[in-house]
Amino acid sequence: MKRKVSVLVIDDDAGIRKTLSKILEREGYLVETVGDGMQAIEASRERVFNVALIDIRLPDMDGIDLLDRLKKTEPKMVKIVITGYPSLSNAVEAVNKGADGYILKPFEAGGLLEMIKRRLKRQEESMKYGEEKVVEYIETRVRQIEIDRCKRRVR
Amino acid sequence: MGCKEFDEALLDAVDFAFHSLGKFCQQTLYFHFKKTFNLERAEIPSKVEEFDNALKSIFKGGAVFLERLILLKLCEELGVKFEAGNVFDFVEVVSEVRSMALEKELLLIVSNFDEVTVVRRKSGGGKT
Repeated sequence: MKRKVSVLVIDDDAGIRKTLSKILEREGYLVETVGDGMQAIEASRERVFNVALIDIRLPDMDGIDLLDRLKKTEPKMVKIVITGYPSLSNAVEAVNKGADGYILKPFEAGGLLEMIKRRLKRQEESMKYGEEKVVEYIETRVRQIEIDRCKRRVR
Repeated sequence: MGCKEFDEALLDAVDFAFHSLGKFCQQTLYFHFKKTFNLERAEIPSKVEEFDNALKSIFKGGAVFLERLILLKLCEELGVKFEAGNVFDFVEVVSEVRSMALEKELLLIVSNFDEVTVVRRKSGGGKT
């Protein structure tokens, strides 16, 4: 059975949290919502999320700072910044801090879902590449172990 | 929780940790455990030391990350609170968790017996 994709929504607006939950759950995502940056950090420490939707203005910290912190602890997680206060400097900073997407409020559900799907596909491809590398490593190590055993037997 | 249930929980935890690397990695690991280390998946609970050695032979220092994941999942499955520090002996910790899980089950059985005794006293009009 394929594991459900989990999404962490970080927004101080309860209405937005509820709306996003409904939209995402309807698409089959597992959704958890939090109202500030510290709760987001705590949640990401306890559980693994595939996607984080981060509001740029949070009550306890800047969304960009949260993005930076999550980038360090959860490098593989897809991070999409949502903002109602668009500016070029914000967008550039978000991308520089490792955002995978930048969405403006008010947003269309279809656009957001499409962006999530595209980013998840990219994440999956990168994981597959990583898996191939691990298998390659295992095979190489096992060959080395076998060679070492043969050498020991010959001695 | 009997020994069989503990063994199943341990195997589930190993599956989970290997699967975190990808399904193909999981299959590759089990294949080489059997072929190179003569260790079948089902034998892992009774050969924890061999399992630990095989994992360390393949991943060297990286084995600790998989072992930590196995322990986290195992404790979660068993409802046992156990925190391993940065340096731990996998074989010892598994053995400790096994004892804790079996002990927990024993306590649960004892507490259930108390409950049964209380019920009998009540229904027997004060007689035990």
